[in-house]
Amino acid sequence: MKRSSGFRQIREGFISAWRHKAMSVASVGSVSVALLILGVALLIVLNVNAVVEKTRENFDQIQIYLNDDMGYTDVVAMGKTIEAYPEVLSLQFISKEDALAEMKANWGDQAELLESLDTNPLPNSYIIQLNSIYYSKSALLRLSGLGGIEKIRNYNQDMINRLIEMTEGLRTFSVGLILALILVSVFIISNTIKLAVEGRKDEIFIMKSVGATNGFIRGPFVVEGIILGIVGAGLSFGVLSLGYMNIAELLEQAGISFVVSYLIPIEGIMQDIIVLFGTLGIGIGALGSLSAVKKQLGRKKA
Amino acid sequence: MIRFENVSKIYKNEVGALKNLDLKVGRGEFIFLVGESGAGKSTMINLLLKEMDPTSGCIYFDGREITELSNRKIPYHKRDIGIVYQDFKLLNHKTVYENVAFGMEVVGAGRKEIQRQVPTILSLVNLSRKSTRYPHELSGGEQQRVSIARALVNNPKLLIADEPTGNLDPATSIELMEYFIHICNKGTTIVMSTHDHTIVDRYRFRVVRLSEGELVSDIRRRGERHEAI
Ligand SMILES: Nc1ncnc2c1ncn2[C@@H]1O[C@H](COP(=O)(O)OP(=O)(O)O)[C@@H](O)[C@H]1O
Ligand SMILES: [Mg+2]
Repeated sequence: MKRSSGFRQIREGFISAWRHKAMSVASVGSVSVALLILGVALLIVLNVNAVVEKTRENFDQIQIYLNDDMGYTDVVAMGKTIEAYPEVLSLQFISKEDALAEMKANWGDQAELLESLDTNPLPNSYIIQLNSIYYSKSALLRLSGLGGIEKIRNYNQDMINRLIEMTEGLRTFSVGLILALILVSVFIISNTIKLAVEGRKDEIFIMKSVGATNGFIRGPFVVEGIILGIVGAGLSFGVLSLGYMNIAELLEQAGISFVVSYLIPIEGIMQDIIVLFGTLGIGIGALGSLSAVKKQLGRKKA
Repeated sequence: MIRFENVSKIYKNEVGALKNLDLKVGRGEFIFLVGESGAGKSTMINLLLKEMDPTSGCIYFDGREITELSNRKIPYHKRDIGIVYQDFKLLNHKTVYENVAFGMEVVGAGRKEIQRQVPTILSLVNLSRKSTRYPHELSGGEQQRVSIARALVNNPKLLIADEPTGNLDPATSIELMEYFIHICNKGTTIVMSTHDHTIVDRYRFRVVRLSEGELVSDIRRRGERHEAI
């Protein structure tokens, strides 16, 4: 297609969107609400992930699994050694049997499955409570010098578990909500474009009868849909980035300013969000308008 | 130019709109397609435009079997066929010139080409002086000439007119016929469906008559007479 007709289609897209102002506003609004919720959910998930990553380096609990061939006396000696470390607050021994009993308790109804085991596959272990997360590195260093350890796991139990649970809940909830909102946006844009299509039915009829291609006929409508999608995306991006830039202040006012140091800096993610919103805005707009013109482009019903 | 080979069309509601139709139309011919309402004239035209596919049989246009055309090629097929409807189908917010130019713009013609072609075609239908008028400022006959101009603007090989005089008075109808004849004499094949006996009787063109989807007679009045098989 020639340049001039490309410009013409874009111009006509704007003119047509202007002609159906109320529907256009509804379209833009629904796209921006959908993307705004997506953006907020995304920022929360990304930030919580970042916090989880950071807290992984700052744990206050270590569990060490012991080799099975370690004798009773060796195990007791090891406990004494560890208890003497300056970083260690307390130490708890969990025997293989304790571990299996706990597992049975956790499995509840399915615990019978465990009855059929000939040998207990679980190891003996120590759970070490540290004085503070700041000692975690030096404690690990000391432990790695000991023999007879099969595996070391470290936790900031409470915090990590809670955060992971929270994000997972948020993720499933928001994925559903966002998908629904995107569908609603596509539907509203489709209805807006249908008005435009309706207003130009005669033109479409003639275009088809003189042999305009479907692509050519669709052009201005798809452009109009994409304009609506992009404006909606731009609006939600504006609100989102404005909000995120002021989030530190808001959190401080809410008395949880310590969280601020964990926040991902705005420069780090906004670029990705621009790309994501742009793609979704264009996609929603194009999908809505394509579904709106589809009926007009078909052949006669036989 | 056009060949229908044993073409049948049965609609989804099981109406048999065309039954085993065989028909050949040569290049440059002028044929009247007659028959009462519901005889299958429009169905034939829609099949020729590939607005729909026949239930069985083959249709050839300009050496191609159009039943085989892919969807992508349909628009290009339509550019070879100009069509004029009973109700003109003009765009009211566009002038005469713009209505005709629209037919070229939407198939991607260049500005220069449009500026050259539209005045030529408008003079062919004798509307040069009315090119800046809007459809509501024209008589019915003039409006139909605008729609003829639009149908011709991309130089189609075939011009189809589906009841073109249906909304016009007898005098205007005859005037319009003169334009069609002029266009035919310049080499365009014309298929015109009509109810209008006066017109059919007045001109000695070939008459193809359909009745309930069957070709019942095919009369070439300049020469011999063919009864349908
Ligand atoms: N889209 C359609 N669906 C079902 N039946 C149709 C359709 N178009 C036409 N028909 C039927 O096919 C027959 C032929 O119609 P048509 O080709 O329009 O006749 P004509 O143009 O000669 O008046 C009629 O009985 C009509 O009711
Ligand atoms: Mg008809």
